[in-house]
Amino acid sequence: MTDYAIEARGLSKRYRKVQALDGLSLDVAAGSICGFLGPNGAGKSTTMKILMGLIRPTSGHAFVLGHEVGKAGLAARARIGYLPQDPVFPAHLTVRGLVTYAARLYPGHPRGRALRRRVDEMLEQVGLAAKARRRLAGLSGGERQRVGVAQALIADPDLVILDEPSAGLDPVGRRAMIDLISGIGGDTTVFYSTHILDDVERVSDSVVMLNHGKVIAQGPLASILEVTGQDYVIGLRGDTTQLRSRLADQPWVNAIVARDRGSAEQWQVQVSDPAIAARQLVPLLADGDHSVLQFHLTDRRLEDAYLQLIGASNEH
Amino acid sequence: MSTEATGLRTSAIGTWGVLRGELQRWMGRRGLFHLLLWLTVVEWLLYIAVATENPPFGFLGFENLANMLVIFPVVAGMVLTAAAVCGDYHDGTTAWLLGKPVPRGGYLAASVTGLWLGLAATTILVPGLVAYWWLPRVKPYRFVTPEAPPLGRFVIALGLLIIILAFFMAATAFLSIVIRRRGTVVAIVAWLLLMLRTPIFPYADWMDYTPARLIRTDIAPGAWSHITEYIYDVPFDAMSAVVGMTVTTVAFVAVAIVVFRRLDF
Repeated sequence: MTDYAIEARGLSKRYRKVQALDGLSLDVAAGSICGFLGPNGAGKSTTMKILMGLIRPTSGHAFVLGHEVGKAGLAARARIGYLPQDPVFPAHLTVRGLVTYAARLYPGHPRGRALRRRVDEMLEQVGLAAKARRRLAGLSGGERQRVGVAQALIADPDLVILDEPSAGLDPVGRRAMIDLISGIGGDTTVFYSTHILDDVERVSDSVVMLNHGKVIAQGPLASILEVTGQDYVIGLRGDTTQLRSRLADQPWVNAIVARDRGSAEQWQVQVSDPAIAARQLVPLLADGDHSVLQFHLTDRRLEDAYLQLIGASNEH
Repeated sequence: MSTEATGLRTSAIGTWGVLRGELQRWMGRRGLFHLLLWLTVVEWLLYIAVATENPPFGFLGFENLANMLVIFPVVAGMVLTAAAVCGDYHDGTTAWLLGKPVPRGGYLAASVTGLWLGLAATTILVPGLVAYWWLPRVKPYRFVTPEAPPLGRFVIALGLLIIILAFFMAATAFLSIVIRRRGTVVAIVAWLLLMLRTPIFPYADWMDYTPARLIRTDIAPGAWSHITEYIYDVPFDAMSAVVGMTVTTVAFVAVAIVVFRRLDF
């Protein structure tokens, strides 16, 4: 078995005047939970649709579970569970009917009682056992998404591709969805797109970041977070003008994000070299007409890395 | 098992899954709705035309039935096929299903075949057989032949109507794939239906190979078609139309599948 569940090389897709993907290359390790990030219109859904064989790339190649998309797409799809963005399912079906219908499309699916048992287990897993007989048309957005995950997982796939599974969900629904994704685990690879970076931090072990149809960063979550280095949070009161300009002059300071906190200010100082910052930051703070109210290191945040990488990509 | 055999098996399972899903839909509310609707419409109109003291159009019975069992199913077929193909394409249902191990050609063929079989049963077969049962029992007896036509001949005539339905549904599916706007598609196929056999359009030789040879879409006394004649035991000489329709239907579906395989979803 290949080390990668998904490999793409030089994928491009052009829609008349719009270049949706521009030479995209990415690798998703088998068995990982990979978050696929990027602004709206970056090309996430287009990439996923190419991987599913739903649209043809203008150029480039993609391999899913070792099968080249386009040439052996059917064999690949027999091992993939897919949840499209804003999924539309046949409204006349019940929850159980849809999941059963989806199961029967896969080779080697269980039959009779075994199929019924499998569907029951899946509905239990997504928390919809009590609504098995409900028609899809009568479900809330969150319930529809959970049915979507159930139909994606019903055939016990080796790869699950979820296009914004948390979109439109309330915080409780979102949390349930993330718990569901993190529970897939095992040998199954999960490749999902989202705008909710907290969720990615919580469950993903790797990340692919996309902007303007190109991958701008990819790899293990820890290595992506290295991009931002460390952040210090500093609470200040008084005249901070001189301090700000002194800090901004330091080569190891990447950025200072200031937030107004009434009579005080809170700064988030992003540093590129934690070792130098640890030695030099405190002495710099000591000098000036201000008081230091708060001073600590923050957890590394994906949101900061994301904004930094997207910002740098937009400047080029 | 070889890769090719595995691929064929996967295709067959996916295609059968879609067809099964379509057929199951007709076993439920949808089938019941259509059955009741078309039974009511066909039998009621036939009753007005045949069983009342002064029939408004002077019809005799089986030609009304043959004409009705062309027009109503074909209109329902073109509307439902356009809705299924264009509607599912635009709302994303097709994309969802094609994300499963379902071949594109198999998906399209299974969707349209499921719809065709459901419509054939609910709009032609059952209303036709029900009418066959009660039409000869109407007093006063109004038919050309002294006795009701033989059941076998009548069932074959219904089979011809089902082939005509397939022809128009295949044309609709083909246009739906190419145009993908259901209103436009329905308008084109409705025009085709009208053009094929009404006094407005002159009959041309090439129409021998189309449903025009078999049907009439004009509502007029004595608007006999070859199907009506066949029911009344007149020798059948419209085989060219049956062959022409069958070949064209297969061609429509084949070209539709070729185009469908190239679409982005």
